Amino acid sequence: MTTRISNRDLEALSAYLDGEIPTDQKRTLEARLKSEEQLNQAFNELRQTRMILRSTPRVRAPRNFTLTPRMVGARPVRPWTFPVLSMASVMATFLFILVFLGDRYITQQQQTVSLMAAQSAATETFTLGAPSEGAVQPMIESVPPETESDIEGSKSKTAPLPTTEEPTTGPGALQVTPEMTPSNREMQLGAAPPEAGYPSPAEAVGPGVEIQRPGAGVIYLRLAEIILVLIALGSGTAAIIMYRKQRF
Amino acid sequence: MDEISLIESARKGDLDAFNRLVLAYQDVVYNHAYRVLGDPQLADDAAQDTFIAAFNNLRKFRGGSFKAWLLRIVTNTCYDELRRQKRRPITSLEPVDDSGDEIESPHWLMDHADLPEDQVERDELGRAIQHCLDELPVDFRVVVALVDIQGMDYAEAAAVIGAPLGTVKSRLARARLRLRDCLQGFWELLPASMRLEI
Repeated sequence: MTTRISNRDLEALSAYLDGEIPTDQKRTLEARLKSEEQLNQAFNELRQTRMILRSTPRVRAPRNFTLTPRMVGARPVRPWTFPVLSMASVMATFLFILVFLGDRYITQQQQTVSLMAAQSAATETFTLGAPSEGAVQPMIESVPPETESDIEGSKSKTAPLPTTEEPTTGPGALQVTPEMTPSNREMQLGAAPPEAGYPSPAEAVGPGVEIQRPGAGVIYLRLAEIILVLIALGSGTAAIIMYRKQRF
Repeated sequence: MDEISLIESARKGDLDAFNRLVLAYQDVVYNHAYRVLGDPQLADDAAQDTFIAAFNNLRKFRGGSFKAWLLRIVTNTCYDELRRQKRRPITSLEPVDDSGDEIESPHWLMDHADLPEDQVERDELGRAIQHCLDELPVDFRVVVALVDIQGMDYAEAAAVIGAPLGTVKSRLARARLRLRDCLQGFWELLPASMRLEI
């Protein structure tokens, strides 16, 4: 049988159970509980209901609810090496571009100097006309014995050039017809492409003229380029890996 | 490190410090969400959302009981979820009878043969209580969960739900009366010491 009591009494009983009732109301209620059977029965029922609720098995969390930076939209805290690696990669790339451009510039300069040297040597030959034995002799003497075959080779390479005269004795000297004007001569010298079967300026000049090879500076530049590329790639890759790891 | 230091560190963005608080309170938060929502998956989502919201709003914590503050957040999260369900009712996976009414929950049909007898009784009692809680209006359920399950006093419960003390008192009394009537249907599950002498 369920006890029927007023809402006010029910609230008072419930609060009394929890010790949340004012002292004066408490005394009144305790007195009524002793005298009113129905109220006392309602009180016991509430007390037992409360006891059952308080014995409710506690449900444990099925998993951990710990948060990750991504969940809360926080910027991941990156180690100090991340900006260092990033900056190193950027700086190495920038320096590589500078060094590469410098390398190109120096190489072009050297090629130009070589070409000019070749041209000046060839022009000297032309302006002297058919070189005398005296003029050529020192050049021949200055050639080391082991290069005589090269001289012969360069002589044979000059053969395809159109000529009406006997070959000159100067190594690598071009054949010039008497009818040629100076401008013609220059055109022939400057325009003759090496791939067209003509000797390169260095070959044309012959061993008597010093040919400029890449100097130590250029080699250092190439080394620097390789090192800078390695630094840029290495530090850049490391920075990217670090960034991806932080993004989970 | 004590709770206050952890809260201070977490306020400065220290997620590890906050996660230590999470580990300390996750059972309380999940348990409350489960009792209010009555569904493990929804309770899981609510608990996770609660901790995310707590971390993001940690600056608004003015001191006092951190547990009460968390319970306030999880209660609001549960209200949001229940409102969302009302707007977009989900199709129940519970079996229904010919008239479309849900038949008794499969929880009651589970085979407990492999579990110890005490465990079975405890589980069944827990489910019986949850069943009765689910029958209550959500406002009543929240108050019962706060006072009778979480063990809060009226003032703390009033602070959590943002209502006057009298409201807590009234809701709790009426909820207990309804629960008393509901639990009579599970008489046989109650331990002898808890059986209502009606």
